[in-house]
Amino acid sequence: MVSVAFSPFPITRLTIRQFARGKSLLVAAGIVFFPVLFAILGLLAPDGLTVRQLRQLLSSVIFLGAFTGTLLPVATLLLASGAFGDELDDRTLSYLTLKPISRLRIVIEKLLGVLIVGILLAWTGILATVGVAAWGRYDAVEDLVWPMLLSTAAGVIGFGSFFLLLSLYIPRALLTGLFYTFVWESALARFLPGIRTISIRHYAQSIFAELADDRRIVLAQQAELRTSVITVVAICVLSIALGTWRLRRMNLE
Amino acid sequence: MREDVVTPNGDEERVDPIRSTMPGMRGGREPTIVLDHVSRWYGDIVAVSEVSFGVGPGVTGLLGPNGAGKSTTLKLMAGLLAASSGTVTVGGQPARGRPNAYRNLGLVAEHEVIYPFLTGREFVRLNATLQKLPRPRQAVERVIELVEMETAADRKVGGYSKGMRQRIKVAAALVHDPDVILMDEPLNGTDPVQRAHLIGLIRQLGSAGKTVLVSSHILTEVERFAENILVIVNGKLAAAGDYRAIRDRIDAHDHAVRIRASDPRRLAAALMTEPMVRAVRLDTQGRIVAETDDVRAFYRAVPVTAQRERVRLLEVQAADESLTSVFSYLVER
Repeated sequence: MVSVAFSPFPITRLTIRQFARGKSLLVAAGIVFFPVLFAILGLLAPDGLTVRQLRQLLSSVIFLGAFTGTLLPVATLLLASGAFGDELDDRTLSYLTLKPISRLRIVIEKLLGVLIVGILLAWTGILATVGVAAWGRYDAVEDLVWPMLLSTAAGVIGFGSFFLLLSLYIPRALLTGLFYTFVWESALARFLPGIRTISIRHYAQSIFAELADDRRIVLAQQAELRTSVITVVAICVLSIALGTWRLRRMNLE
Repeated sequence: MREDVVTPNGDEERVDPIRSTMPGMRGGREPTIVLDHVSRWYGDIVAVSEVSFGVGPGVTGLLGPNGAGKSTTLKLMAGLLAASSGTVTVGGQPARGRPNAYRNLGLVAEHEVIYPFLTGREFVRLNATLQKLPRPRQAVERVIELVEMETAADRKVGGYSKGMRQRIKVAAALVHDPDVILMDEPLNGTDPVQRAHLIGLIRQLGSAGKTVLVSSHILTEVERFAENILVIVNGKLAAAGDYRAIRDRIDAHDHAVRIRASDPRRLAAALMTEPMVRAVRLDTQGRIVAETDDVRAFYRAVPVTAQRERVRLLEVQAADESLTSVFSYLVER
């Protein structure tokens, strides 16, 4: 296990060790590996899948439909809401705030812990899903892998920073985050065009659609790559700024 | 900056608490910590009300019953809480919103939770690293030795006893050798040997010229390490000054003591004959509740009487409601 002391990022390492001992990591792992079940079902199709069907299963059904729309935000929520939330609940946050370090650094290091664990976990889930679905036919979907990984990373950054911020403002961030994910990101943003453009999911998916070299992968109101990247970065920066502001003014009981 | 307090000589008068009875103010020394008309409330509940006092170098005890506002007061000093009104300064600077001030301040919080997945040494190292100490390894070993945790330092904190957790928290609070040390009930959960060691350490820190404020709800505990005490009751400063004078005033008030014994009726009958006992009754759980006007003489008499009557004592302690009423008495004066 990594030592938290004498390291360049002690709070990040502390956060990762907190995840390692908690149930959140196991549940999040279960969620991101859930698409492997879809992949197995695809493998078990009676006549096998054609290349076109396989690419559609992976890109539209699994990645755009289930993964980035619902599973990724929920898994990221579990990690991000606990990074500060657990320390607020057990009152250990004062061990960090009573130190001569800026609140900005605390927020950035905490977020870094969420992103490192979240991205590695999500990437492992995606690679396992692709590996199972395209068993023996990896060449047919190879070009989709990098767009999926980059889109996933963008999703973790967007959702992770937003949910981290939420946990600093709302005591029951997990419940609020679940409500947001299922109602806003999974339902309203999927069916209402106006809301779609103000959902994190939309920009993460747009990155995938823009990077994937497949004319059949198109999103409604698809955002340009540059717009999507800027939006995700803006959400992250704004969340860090508001989180720092909140941490400076927060009363720690 | 003036308010009514009971002074050590018992007079009720308009005094300036910052410049009169507190350590650091006598002999022209400036206080390190100053609370000036500080209040803190949560909705309709007032935790700290219009408190003004100063704390200078040496050990000062912050005494009061549970729920009196001691922890809130310490958190205000540490900058963890914002005052609803009034100002809190440490070293002449606002206590809140200045992270760099924590280079010179250490807090031993009352809550017990420490990251259970870290070893004691890792926890202290984490504090040393976050304090950006130039030689963290040496600092860590120094404080671990100071709290006598060498043999248990590499065990996970989650497996520590309450006393061990208290000691490792003290080590973490002292690792950067701060000049201002705030300790919230640091002796809670410690055994007699650990308690004696921590008391010695607290006295040593005070003798070294550091400003040490230690909270407790037990007067006999506070008087072992602090010459000067602040008494806080219901969020208000009830008394301030030399512990002997305050102890005498507290002792003069009637106390209730609860006793569990092998034969409570026999012991209760025997205690009735003691001159300092005003009343004796048995509560619903069969415990003796004795009221006395001389608590120290009573505590001396109880074991002697029990031995004479061949009754085994199981527990002797001040009734909580008695403790609260004794402290409240200082406010009412």
